[in-house]
Amino acid sequence: MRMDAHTSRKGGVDMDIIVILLIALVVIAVIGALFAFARTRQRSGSVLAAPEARQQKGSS
Amino acid sequence: MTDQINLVRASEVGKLPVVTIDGGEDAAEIKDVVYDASRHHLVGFTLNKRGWFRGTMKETLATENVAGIGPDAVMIESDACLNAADSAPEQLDRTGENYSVIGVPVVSSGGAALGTVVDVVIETGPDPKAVGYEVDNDGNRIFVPTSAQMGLSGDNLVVPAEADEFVRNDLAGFGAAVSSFRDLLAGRGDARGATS
Repeated sequence: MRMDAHTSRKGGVDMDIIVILLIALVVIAVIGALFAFARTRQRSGSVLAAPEARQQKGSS
Repeated sequence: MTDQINLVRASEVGKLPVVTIDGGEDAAEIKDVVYDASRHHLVGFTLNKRGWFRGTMKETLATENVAGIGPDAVMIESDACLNAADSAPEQLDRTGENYSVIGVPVVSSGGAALGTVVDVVIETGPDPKAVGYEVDNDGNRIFVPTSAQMGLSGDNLVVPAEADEFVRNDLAGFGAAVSSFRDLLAGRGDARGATS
């Protein structure tokens, strides 16, 4: 009986650690995704033509 | 007549930090490069904030306030050179109406499809301007010079047939081609937008 209790308690502790690690990994992954998204958005620059070019379309 | 000119791709400028000369600080980061496609001169830049969670800044940077465009940074005198939203040049302020030229099909006036625009070549210096387009032609990158005769919209970029002979496959040779093309237009008295 004592062995069973010890095993059960030890197994419970292991599960707690695994759950905590999994939660930590999920949190880190979410934060990483947010950073990646922010950097992707910020670097989405382009080369823009000013509206005057559109107004003179076909004028030449 | 073929002066040495410094050329850079607009996409490369779009990743550069904006550095103040008086303080040496990173004031911003270039986001969009805005140019007048009819006159070809560079209007300015829209900006991103510096830092991890950085977004678009309300301030913009007009070309007149740029001290220099280098390979690693765009230099300005101080933070005061950044234009507030209400004092920005008109063409920069209307970024919602500006349109991206990346991906626009290129057609010569002779009716030949030359590919799609993948980048714009900018001449740096005291009067920065767009001098050509980098075009993806079935996997081959070619450089086509701008000209006063060109028509541009969000649908098509039309280049004169005369530009065909000045198309180059490398940016280094394109500098000389731009100068030669200008000479050709000036010789014909056809450089309408070149003097503006």
